[in-house]
Amino acid sequence: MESDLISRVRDLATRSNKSRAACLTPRSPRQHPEGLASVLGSPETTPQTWSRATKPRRRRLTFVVPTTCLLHRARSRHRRAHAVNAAIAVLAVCSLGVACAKPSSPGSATAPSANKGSAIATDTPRSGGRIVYGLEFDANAYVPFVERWPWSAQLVAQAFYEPLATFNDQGEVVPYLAERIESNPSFTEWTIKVRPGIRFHDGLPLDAEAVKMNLDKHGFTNFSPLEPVDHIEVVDPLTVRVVMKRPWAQFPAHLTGQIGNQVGYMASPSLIQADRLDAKPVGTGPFKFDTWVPSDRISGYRNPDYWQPGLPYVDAVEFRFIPDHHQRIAELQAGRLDAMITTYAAILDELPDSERFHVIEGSGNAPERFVLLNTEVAPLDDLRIRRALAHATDRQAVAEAVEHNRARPADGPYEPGSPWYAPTPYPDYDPEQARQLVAEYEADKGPVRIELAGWNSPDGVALQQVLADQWRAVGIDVSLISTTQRTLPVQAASGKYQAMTFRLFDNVDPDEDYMFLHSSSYNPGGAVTLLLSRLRDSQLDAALDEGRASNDPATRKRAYAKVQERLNATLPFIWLYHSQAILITSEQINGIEGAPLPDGSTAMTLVNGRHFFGPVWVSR
Amino acid sequence: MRFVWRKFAQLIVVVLAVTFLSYLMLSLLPGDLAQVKCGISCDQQSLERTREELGLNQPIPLRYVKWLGKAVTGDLGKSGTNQQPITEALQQRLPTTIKLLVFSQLIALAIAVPAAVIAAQRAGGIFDRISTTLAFAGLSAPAYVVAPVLVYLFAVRLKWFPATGTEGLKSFVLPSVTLALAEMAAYLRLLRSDLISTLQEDYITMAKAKGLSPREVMIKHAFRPSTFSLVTVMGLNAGRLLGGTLIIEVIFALNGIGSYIVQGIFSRDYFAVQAGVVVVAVGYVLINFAVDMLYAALDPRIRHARAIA
Repeated sequence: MESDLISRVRDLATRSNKSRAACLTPRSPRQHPEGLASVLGSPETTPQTWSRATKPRRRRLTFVVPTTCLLHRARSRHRRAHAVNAAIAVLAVCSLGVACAKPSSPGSATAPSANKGSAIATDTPRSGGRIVYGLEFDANAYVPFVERWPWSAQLVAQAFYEPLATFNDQGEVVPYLAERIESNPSFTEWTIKVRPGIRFHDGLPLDAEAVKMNLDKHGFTNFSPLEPVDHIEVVDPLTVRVVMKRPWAQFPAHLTGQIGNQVGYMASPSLIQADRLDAKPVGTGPFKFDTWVPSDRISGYRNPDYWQPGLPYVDAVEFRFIPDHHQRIAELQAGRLDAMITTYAAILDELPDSERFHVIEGSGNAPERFVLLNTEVAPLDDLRIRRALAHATDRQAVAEAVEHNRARPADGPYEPGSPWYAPTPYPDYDPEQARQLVAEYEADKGPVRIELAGWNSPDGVALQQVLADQWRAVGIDVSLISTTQRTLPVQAASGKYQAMTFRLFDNVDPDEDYMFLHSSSYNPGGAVTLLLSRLRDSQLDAALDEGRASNDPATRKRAYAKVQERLNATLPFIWLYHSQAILITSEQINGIEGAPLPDGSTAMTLVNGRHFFGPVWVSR
Repeated sequence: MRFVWRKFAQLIVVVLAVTFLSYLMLSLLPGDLAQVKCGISCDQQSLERTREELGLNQPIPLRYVKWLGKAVTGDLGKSGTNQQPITEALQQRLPTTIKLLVFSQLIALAIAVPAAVIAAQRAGGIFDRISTTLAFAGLSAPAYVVAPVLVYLFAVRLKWFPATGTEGLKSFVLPSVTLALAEMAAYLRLLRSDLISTLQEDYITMAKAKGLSPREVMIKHAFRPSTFSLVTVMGLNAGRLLGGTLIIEVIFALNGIGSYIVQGIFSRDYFAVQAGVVVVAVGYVLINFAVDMLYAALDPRIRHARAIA
């Protein structure tokens, strides 16, 4: 054990040139923006959650350098089981000044100790090879403005397209395709300057005109995340000015290409002009489009004119769509897939031989699983019934049944430990209370019948059944309807549902959820709207507006505390648990964690289940 | 020849009826292709435009006739969701379905026929009992249980066969075996009981009295007349497998006609569903046509009756 620990520490130190101070900075699972340290230090949001009791089996490591220091070590389930102990030990050693600040002997980097497998065989990336990913769903089109990509298609898009900005491991927005993104002091005008010399796969340059075309294409209506934008002007060949209708301090966060918010991805002007729904992806990404067999696979080959020198390392990528989680993991174990992605944490139970695999959990903000309620239709337009559902739902039991206890119950859109989390009263599991509320409603308006829609995946169906059982137990007549992951959001947007299991709120900056919560997204008369719950609350609006217009961490923290309070008072969502993207790769795949960004900082690992493909390399 | 013409006329009527009914039913289902295609961030204006583009504003019979007119010339249109030409999608998917169908039937027959012959020879014997028990086990184990077990053993542990995909014949082994297992049990039971009853016929006694060996009696006299129900069931099964292997397709990530139709139904992709339905309907009629032909080959009396008619 002792020699193991020493070798761990030596190993960590070789790969981490970070200062000891950095090694000792505690981090919450969500990456905190700079300047929030004071908020984080306050006792109410103590981010360190070490004990097994609080985080039983699923654990995200919570230190800055541990992203490099520990996550490499913590790739397997077995290793993760020991990782917390190791982390404490490493910290102890660090604090004694033994290893972290000091680069260790050169030999240790190439000679990892035997019991760790060959997670990192060598630190020098190699060129060549091909990676095959197993994903859940295909998209209808790989063009950023045609449709909102389903969750797993986001990763595919990352091979062909790149965003203007991205999040670094400090939770800050840093330019990616852009060189600079700056605002005037009142946040009413933003200037975006792109890097010179970047070309799309079809040879056209990425210039100011292209940026303007891309952003214009998304429109500035209340269906677009760019709703606050008034117009966009070309300033010089590489610079555009984005003029806002009202102050928008968090605009750059929206250029990072988050789920449901693809405005940051730059597609070739030729794609935009053609305006064809069946267009093939043409971006600036490390891979050029090769073939696509819908629902089967999509592939790309190395872009020889890629703008980041030396990248990408691999020659080709292929994404195969395998809807069944179990089959994906079986193919990974059989060596026919190099990597697979899932949000179904229970799948890790099926990975017995985990020394041969890297398990990488998403950072940033874990998406929440919750029940979305249509507050415009009876009986859910009545707060008593929404309260009854909250009281009737045993979140712990749901997490146990569906995720085999690998997920933590949620009480809001942010996780405890997030800089934005504020403890907020939420109805406890109390079937008696629920029964009373249902009885009260029934005396008033008649029997309570609810149709609960959900995904037709195995975990989706399991989730629906657990919920139906719990709700039936308090006297609610529940019927179930299962459909595809693609159809659900559309039904939600068009309001053709009562209750629906859903997954959202995985954005790093809470302002990115604005369009799903603010009443300005609402369109009356049964029209399609992004305000999926149709709940309009003036106090919630005010808080969201405050968080959007300000750049002051304390003001924003207060504003989003109010958001959580209003959500839990009006209950458009029945919270279930925090889920997380999990990427499992074979031991040969490297470069996903701690990927370098063009500005010299390090990328946040697996934000919304995505990573950059340029720095990925194969060690066999 | 008249028989063939009659079958052909039957085929046309069946295809027309099936396509029209499925068109009608899909149109009556709640949900909207325009909405699915236009996506979550689609405003009312672009929704109307999409609806127009897809021709969804026209009355159903008119839409159907238009579709039919194009389909006859081989233009099945484009998928309403991902814009892939439907003929291309069918070209990608039909081979998968046919391979799965053929392999599973071959595997099932290769095991069921010899086992049934041996079992019928000594009905009630030890082999009969064992094969009957195993057949029941095979029949009662659902595909979604068998498939993961096979995958674990042969894909994960032994690495003999891949667990998903359509590359090469190897990829079809596990799904075909999974499908064949249940079919095999049914075929075995069917052929065995038919053989046993045939073996009690007078002409078999006669053949035995002539001094033929039990093997000759079985192969030359008993086997052919006993395969009637087997051929019928096989025909029905094959038709069913054309569009009904959804569970297998999903588990093994095989993209066949079955999953194409189901995906189409979920996204209200009328054109895709229509095309899938046509393939299944045509296939069904053709297979049953082949079965009818086989009857004639198996039984001279049918040949004779058709010749008179």
